[in-house]
Amino acid sequence: MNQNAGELTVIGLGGGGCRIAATLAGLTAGSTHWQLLAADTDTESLSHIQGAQTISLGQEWVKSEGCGGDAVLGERATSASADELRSLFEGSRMVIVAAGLGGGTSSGGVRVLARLLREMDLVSLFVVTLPFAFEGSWRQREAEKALVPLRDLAEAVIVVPNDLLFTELTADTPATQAFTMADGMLAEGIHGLTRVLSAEGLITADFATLKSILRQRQATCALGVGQGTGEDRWQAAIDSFIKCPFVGSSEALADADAAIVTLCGGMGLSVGEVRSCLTAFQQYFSEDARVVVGAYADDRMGDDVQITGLLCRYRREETDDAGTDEQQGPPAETPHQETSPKRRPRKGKALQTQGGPVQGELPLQEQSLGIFTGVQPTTIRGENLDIPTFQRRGIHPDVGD
Amino acid sequence: MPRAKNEVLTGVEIGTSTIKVVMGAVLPEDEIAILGAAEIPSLRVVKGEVTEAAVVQEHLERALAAAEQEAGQEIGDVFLAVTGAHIQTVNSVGSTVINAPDRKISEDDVVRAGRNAHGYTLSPDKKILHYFDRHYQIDRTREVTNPVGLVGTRLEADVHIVFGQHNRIETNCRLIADVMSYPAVDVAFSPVAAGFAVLSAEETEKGALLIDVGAGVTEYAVFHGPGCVHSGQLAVGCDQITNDLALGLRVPMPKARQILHELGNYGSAVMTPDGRARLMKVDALGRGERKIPVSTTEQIIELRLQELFENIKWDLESRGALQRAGGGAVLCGGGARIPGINRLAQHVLQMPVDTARPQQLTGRHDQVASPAFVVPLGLLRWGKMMLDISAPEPMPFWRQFQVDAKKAWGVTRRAFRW
Repeated sequence: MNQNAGELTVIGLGGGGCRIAATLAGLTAGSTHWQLLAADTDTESLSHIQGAQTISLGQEWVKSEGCGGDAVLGERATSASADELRSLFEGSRMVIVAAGLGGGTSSGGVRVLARLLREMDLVSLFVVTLPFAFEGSWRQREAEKALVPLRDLAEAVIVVPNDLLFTELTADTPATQAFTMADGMLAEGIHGLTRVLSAEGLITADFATLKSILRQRQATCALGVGQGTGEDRWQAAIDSFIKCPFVGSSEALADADAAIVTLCGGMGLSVGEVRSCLTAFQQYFSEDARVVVGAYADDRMGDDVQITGLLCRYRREETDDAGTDEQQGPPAETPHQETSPKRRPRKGKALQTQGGPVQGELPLQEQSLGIFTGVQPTTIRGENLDIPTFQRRGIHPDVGD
Repeated sequence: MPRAKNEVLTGVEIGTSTIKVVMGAVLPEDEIAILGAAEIPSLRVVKGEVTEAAVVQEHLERALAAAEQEAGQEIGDVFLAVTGAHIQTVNSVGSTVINAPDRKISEDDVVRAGRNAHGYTLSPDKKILHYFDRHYQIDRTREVTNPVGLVGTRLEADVHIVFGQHNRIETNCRLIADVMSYPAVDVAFSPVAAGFAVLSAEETEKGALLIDVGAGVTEYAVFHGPGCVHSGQLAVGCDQITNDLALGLRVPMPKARQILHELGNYGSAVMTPDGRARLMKVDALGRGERKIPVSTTEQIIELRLQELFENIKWDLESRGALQRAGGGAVLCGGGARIPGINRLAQHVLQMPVDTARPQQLTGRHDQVASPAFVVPLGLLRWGKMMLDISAPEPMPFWRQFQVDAKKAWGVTRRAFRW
């Protein structure tokens, strides 16, 4: 039915991950372009999940009772079921892992999964949430502990602090609704991301593009969802995307090195409409950013439109390579764009601090490179070490004239 | 054909200021018998990296030929040191859960933990030079060097990985291959090699920091326990000092270099108290003679070196490697000859600092006993170790014949080119 069938696997790990998987199952009901798995140590909670294949992890370790928040137990249980997981991932080209960090199964299990996926050489994307503050500091700490090794092991990690949701929630929101919202937003995001690859779309990106974006070492990723309706629906969707609590502001877009954006509209969605939206949307990104776009029509959307996007910022030390090796320029139709808005203030600041201590007594110290002109500079923490130290410190040596 | 007992090894360092070649054999007592050595000024090497292959190749040929002539023997296995701004290091942790019913850690678990740690993803243009085991941790509480046989639930291996840009490393390897007609046996990051030359087993056991202040790049490595626990580089060296002097004193580069070389005659890298009163004469650019206080020169050098050591210290501290260098630091490379640099380093790093001296040399070692030669010297000992690990599989005779024929062809070709 679909050429992508079986290529993509989404797995929800632990209690939170399984809830996301269940929400996703509801969203995609009937679609077969992926394999949906839910894995937990707690058999009881797994039995409530519909529409996803369930795996109960490490039964000989936990006796179907869950981990009770013990990450080491979670890790052992998951690694005991590694062979089963491996056989399920067999044949996939990409695996998305969703987990709510802080619990035992998820905090311990993500590490095992990350290692397993690396061994199998699959493209992996981890979407993890950090617990709400009201869940207690112990869970927070557990989650942070799990996150540190994960960043090194996994190719791409999207961290969603649940607390950010509070900007949208009113004080009297019941806790259950807060969880439902968090799960819902992640499920929407993952759904949108996977639709980039879906062959049913109007505009699709190929798998290799997605892979090359995710295979860069990531610093931070953010997932956003925006919706719009009515007359000016695309602009409304863009605005609500930017205001989405996980994105925050338009600066997040300007700082992004790469983005995967999916547009979704009702059956009447035309290519012209998509194009005008994309042109408007791309204004927010910096010139160097690599933006991959997918668009598809879905009859359930009616007159509404939806934008989902994954924003990636690469680790800074890698930017040199990324700049030269894969400069895949953005489309030419990005008129009068502000060139690198983040760099300008920095320069001004540097000048101020340079001039600060010596002002009043001495003129501004000139900075020169001498024999290192035209040589690749040695920079450490923003300082060009090829410029003589005394010049950078604003010292005027006495040279006897 | 079994390997000859005291095989002739060759260490080659293509440095920013000179190309150094040392030929020698490692004797059973771990002594190095020096057979020949050569040092040829290098051009077109900037910050430790070759920028013009043809020029460097010519100099490399001359250096190899000079060493060969001095040794009176043919160059054998070549080991090459690499450095440069592209070399990066990372400390990675790999863990594994002990699944054996009795939870005794086996060799397999150690290998598995190590492999997980090695799995650090690199982009395909990177090449890994070294892996070093730093230590193992059992259940996140016990730190041990050899966990086999101990009981635990979870084993973590902490490894230090050194990697660099594949193509830039390959550039240097190709140069050797082009000159010799056969490739270098192995490549090492230069401070790692230097450590093998100057640190004794006791010093390594106690922990020591080695800083190699070269012309273009300063490399450093911390050795502790079984091996190297951290290393790194900073593309700042004596060239930067010279450049600072040239710009600060407004003198041409050769003059600045001369001032730095003769610093010992009038001052030191640490500012002397009466420096302001003493004057040195300098020919200014087109403006006749000037008298510059010695303190100015000293200040420019001190600022630069202080910053260099501070940056090294910052990196070591942030990677948790500073406290492992319990035995103090040794300085080597050409920069170690700057008078007063030891005191300055001691002041910044807050640990005893000494100038490196190569360990256990015999043979014609007058020339190579200086701190500038430690990298090619260390390559010999390191190379010997590598051969012992990888070797004794005897080559089939046809393969040996092939290698010999290639060598002979290389020799004849070089003879003709001469």
